[in-house]
Formats: sequence, structure tokens, C-alpha cells
Amino acid sequence: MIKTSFEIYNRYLIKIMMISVIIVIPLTLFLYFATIYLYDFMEADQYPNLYMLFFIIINFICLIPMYRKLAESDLEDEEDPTIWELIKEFLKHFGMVLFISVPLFLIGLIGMSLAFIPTAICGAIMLVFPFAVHYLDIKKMLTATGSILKRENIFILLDLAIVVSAQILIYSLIMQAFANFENSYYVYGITRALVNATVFPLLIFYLTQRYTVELNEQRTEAR
Amino acid sequence: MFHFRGLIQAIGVSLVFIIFYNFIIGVFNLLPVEWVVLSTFFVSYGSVGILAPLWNKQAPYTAAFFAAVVLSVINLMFSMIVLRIPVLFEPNTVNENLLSSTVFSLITAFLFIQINKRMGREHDD
Amino acid sequence: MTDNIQTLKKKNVWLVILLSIITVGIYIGYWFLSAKSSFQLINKNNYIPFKWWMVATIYLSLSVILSLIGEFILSIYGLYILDSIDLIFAYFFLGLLYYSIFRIKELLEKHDDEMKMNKYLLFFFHIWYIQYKINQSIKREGGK
Repeated sequence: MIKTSFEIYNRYLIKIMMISVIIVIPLTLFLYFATIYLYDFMEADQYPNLYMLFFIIINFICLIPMYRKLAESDLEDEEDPTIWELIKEFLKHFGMVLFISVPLFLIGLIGMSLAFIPTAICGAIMLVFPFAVHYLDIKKMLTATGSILKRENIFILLDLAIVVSAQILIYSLIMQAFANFENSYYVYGITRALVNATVFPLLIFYLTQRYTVELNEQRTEAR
Repeated sequence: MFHFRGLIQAIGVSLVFIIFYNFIIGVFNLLPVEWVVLSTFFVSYGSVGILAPLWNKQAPYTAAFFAAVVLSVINLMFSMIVLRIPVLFEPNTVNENLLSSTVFSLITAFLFIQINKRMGREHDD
Repeated sequence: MTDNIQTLKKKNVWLVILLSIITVGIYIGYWFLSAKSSFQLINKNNYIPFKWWMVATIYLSLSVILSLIGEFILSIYGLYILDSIDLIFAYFFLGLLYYSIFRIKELLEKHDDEMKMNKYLLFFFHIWYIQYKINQSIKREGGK
């Protein structure tokens, strides 16, 4: 699976770079500056770190529908989507992703008092549902999410750990290079944006291969 | 008939527009504050008035109306929770806000639909 | 086809107007809910959201009760907040009302060829105008 995701990454390198320049880097920069602004502006009792956590989550999951489409059209040998189509895919599903993830995040926050069990479940759902958000019918979307959750159950948490740890690892490795310089907000923000632009497509291609139901069914039938 | 998904899509795209527009304006300091507020109002409810009918062809006006109401409720909630302005203490302001936003988005939707109709007729001929 | 229109009940228009003013709009919700079975007889796949009308009726009744006893329970700020929330929901119900009456218009015009509804009158007099038209149609059917 990892090999295939590298192959897809390699094949669409120029498209991925274009999308990164148009969407991923500005989005990351915007969310990063928004967190800094909130930290300056808010008092401690307003919990700016919770907003920061939400921004980081949103930064990852609202890019999923776009890259999922790219990966799926490659895996199913469909016509390559153009850059404009991918941007439209992002814009179209942004509202839905936001609409579902905000309540899930709130439930996860409130559920922290219950030994983190609701938080883990909500995190798993938040990771999975953007892969099903392209279904036009909301009911079908929910059943697809449910079936993925049932099939993968505990391993989704492992995926969550992979996503988080890969990001932290790469971010900290790159920060090592800048450690000796005089750093400002901008350096951190731009580094973050570049890391996101390079790492997210790979992670999402990998996860798409794991979660997309029809593809897996086809593969089992072929065997 | 009424597509809930179309409504959510329109609101999401409109939010992206607002964020993008305000980010540009805020970074480059282009306008004075009053104009920022006014132009944000036009951008947000105007875009919703155009996009909601686009994804809800069978019930365009309802879509525009609901999208405007939901957007203003989101705005109220944001100013209540994040900025801590007690907006709900002033029912008159809430009413003005809702009324102006819905009226503006309905007017935009009306103009958009009329223009679309004209253009559609020209294409048919 | 002529039998089906009889399933719609005849109501006095003036009574409908009076009741909806006296009950501060709760009657509008009740009107939709009471007409639910007849509209479903005409066409099973209608798009009128009766589920939401249930919610609207319950909320409207609760809000009337709260505003009546609220002065004794709530402080002045509580009353203001209640007012604002009422306003927000009122806008939602306004959208719901106009969505459903135009769906009813389409439904009835498709069902009864002789029934023609004026858009603007429908906009200003919503369910009262629909009730008036239904009464007319029943009268016509009875006259034949």
C-alpha cells in the first residue's frame, strides 16, 4: 500500500504541487496565523489551545475529499481530474466537513471526562467520514462511514496515531534544521505549510486505499 | 425537493469566500473598518444568494432564505462564543441583522434567477 | 379523482383567520398537521415537511407558555435572551411556512385542474388563501 501511494504521488507530482500552492499552503498559513491571533487576543479562560487543536484537525480533514478523488481516479483507471475539478471538489465538500466535524469535536471535548472513550470514537469518526463525504445522499454517507468503522474498528486508532506521529516526526526533524537561527512566527508558519503540502497527500493516498469500500471489494473479488 | 446538502455546500463555499476576502483585506489593510464590515456583509450574503439557488434549483428562494438565516445565526454564535459579545441581550439588533441579511440574499437570488432565465432563453433561441 | 378533493376538510375562513391571530400562530402549525392525512391521500410523495411542522407547533406552544409565565420566573436578561431565540426560530418557521405553502400550491394545482392560485395573494394570505381555495373547490364539487 505504501508503495502504491508513493507511485501515485510520483505520477501526479505536478498536480499536487499546483494544488499545494493554490490551496494547501494558503489554508495552512491562514489557520496558523489565526491560532497566533487567537493566542494574543484571548484570555486563558477562553481556552485558545482548544481552537488550535480544532484548526489543526480541520487543516487535515478538509483536504481529504480532494486528494481522495485524485487517488481513486488513479486506482480505478478513470480519467485524470483536472486541477479546477479538484479545487471544486474541495470547495463543495468544505461545508459538509465543517458541519459534521464541529459537533463531533464538541462531543469529543465534553466526553473527555468519560475516560477519553467518546473522544477516541469521535476522533475515529472524524478521520473516516471525509472519505465518504462525496456520496450525494447523507444517509448513504453515514452508512458508508459506519461500515468503514465496523470493518476497521480498533485499527482506525492506529491510523490516527500514524497520522499524528508522522506529522510530529517530520515537523520536529525540520525544526532541528532551523533551531540555531533567530526564528519568528513566519518561519514556523511557512515550515508548517511546506510540511503539510508534502506529507498530507501521501497520508491521504495511503488512507484512501485502506478505507475506500468499493475498491477493497473489487480487490477481494479479483483474488 | 429541498436538498439539505446543497444548502450546506452553499454555506461552506460562502464561508471560504468570506475567510479569503477578509484575509486579503486584513493582511493588506485596504479599507477602513466600516467599509470592511459593509463589504463583508455584501460578499457573504451576496455569495449565499447566488450559490444556494445554484445547488437547489427546485426551491431557490427557500434555499437562499435558509442559507442567509443559518449564516447570520453562525455569525451570532461566533460573536457570542468566541468574541464574547452578548448579542442575545438585544432582540432588536438580532432582528435587524436577520432581516437585512435575508432581504439582501433574497434580492441577490431574485436577480440571479432572472438573469439566468434571460440567458437561458437566449441560449434556447 | 373527484372523491379525493372531498378528503380536504371545509373550514370557515374567518374562523381560521381569527384562530390563527388569537393563538399567535400556533393554529397555523395545527392546520398543517390536521391536513396532513388529506394531503398524503392526494399524493403520497408530497414534499411538505410535516415532521418539521410537528417541531414548530410544539416549540410555538412552549414559547407562548414561557412568555406568559416568564415574567415571574426570569430576570430581564432572561426575557431578552428568550426574545432573541424566539426571533431566530421565527425566521426559520417563516421559511418553513413559505416552502410548504408553495408545495401545497403545486400539489393542489396538479390535482385539480380548475384550481388556479394567485402567487401574490398566496404570499400575503398564506394558509387563509389556501383554505379559501379549498372551500371553493369543495363547493364546486358539491354543486355538480
